[in-house]
Amino acid sequence: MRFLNRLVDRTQTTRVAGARKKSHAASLHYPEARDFGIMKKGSRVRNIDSSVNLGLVRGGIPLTGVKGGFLTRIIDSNDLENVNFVIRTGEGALYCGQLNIVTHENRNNLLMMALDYGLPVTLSGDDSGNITGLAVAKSDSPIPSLNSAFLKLQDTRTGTVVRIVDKDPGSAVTYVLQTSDGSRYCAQMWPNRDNYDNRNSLFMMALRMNIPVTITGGANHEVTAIAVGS
Amino acid sequence: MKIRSSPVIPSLICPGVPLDGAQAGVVVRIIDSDASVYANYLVQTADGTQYCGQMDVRRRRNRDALLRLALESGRSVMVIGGINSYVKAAMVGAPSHALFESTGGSNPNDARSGRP
Repeated sequence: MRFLNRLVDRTQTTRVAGARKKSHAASLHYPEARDFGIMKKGSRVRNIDSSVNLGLVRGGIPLTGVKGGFLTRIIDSNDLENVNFVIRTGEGALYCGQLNIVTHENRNNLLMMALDYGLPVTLSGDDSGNITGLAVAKSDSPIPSLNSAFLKLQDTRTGTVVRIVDKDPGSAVTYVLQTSDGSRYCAQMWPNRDNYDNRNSLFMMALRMNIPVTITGGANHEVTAIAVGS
Repeated sequence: MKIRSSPVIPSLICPGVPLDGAQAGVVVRIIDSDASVYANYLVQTADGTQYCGQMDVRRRRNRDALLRLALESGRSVMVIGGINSYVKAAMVGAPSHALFESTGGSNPNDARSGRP
């Protein structure tokens, strides 16, 4: 089911892209706006009238400031670069943050996983509702904070990944490790490094599976080694 | 011009028996460390032995995806180790389609000819 979710999403995204290209080539007539929402299981399907605006379809109050909760929908509409993420807070309010998935591929991946696995998330938005930072926690844990000020990991420790924080353009992605005695360590990685993709996806796997990880941090608490699994 | 891979094949960094030939089991651990240019995979067979293989994830993205899928889903795998325990083949089956019998002491290599 989870994999199906993902496949459906990809197909739809591709379809939007394909549809646009096709109609551009065929005539100057612009296609009708349409949107694809990926719903969390059990949520009600609502018909959103998107014919007014060719831009993005909003799915809630524009996200300004910091809001925590669970993602309920991801809206991939006519805009090829921007995707809307709808978060439901504990009080039931819906906030909608916009993300440029081309420049923030990593955040998109994290949020897709959060929707997919029902993980608690916290988003921060600027005045126009753009997502400027996010934290994703493991399942069955409280809403995470965007804070990642814990002990700096500068040796090798084993525990579970409890949070991944990606905020502030130009700063590293932070991973929070909780050891068996309950203490928390943070380690970081810069997305432009060679081995970032592989290690980051191992961290994501560890977060969603809640399995033991062993991490080694370097001088600047940069991740120099990761092992996932028992 | 012939493009050659790195002349030095890094040694294994994870514990376990170096993977040599075909082994069937489950992936229990994946290691990516600065200590090695290759990722290391730990596969545990039915008798509890852990075998370690290594692979260049950049060149073998699909094989790496299969081994990750195996770790995440707990599906059984068969891996074949070549020179320096380089994982030169990986197979993943559906959960109901075991690659080997978990009971009995038969050689796991038998699975190769026992299944279509």
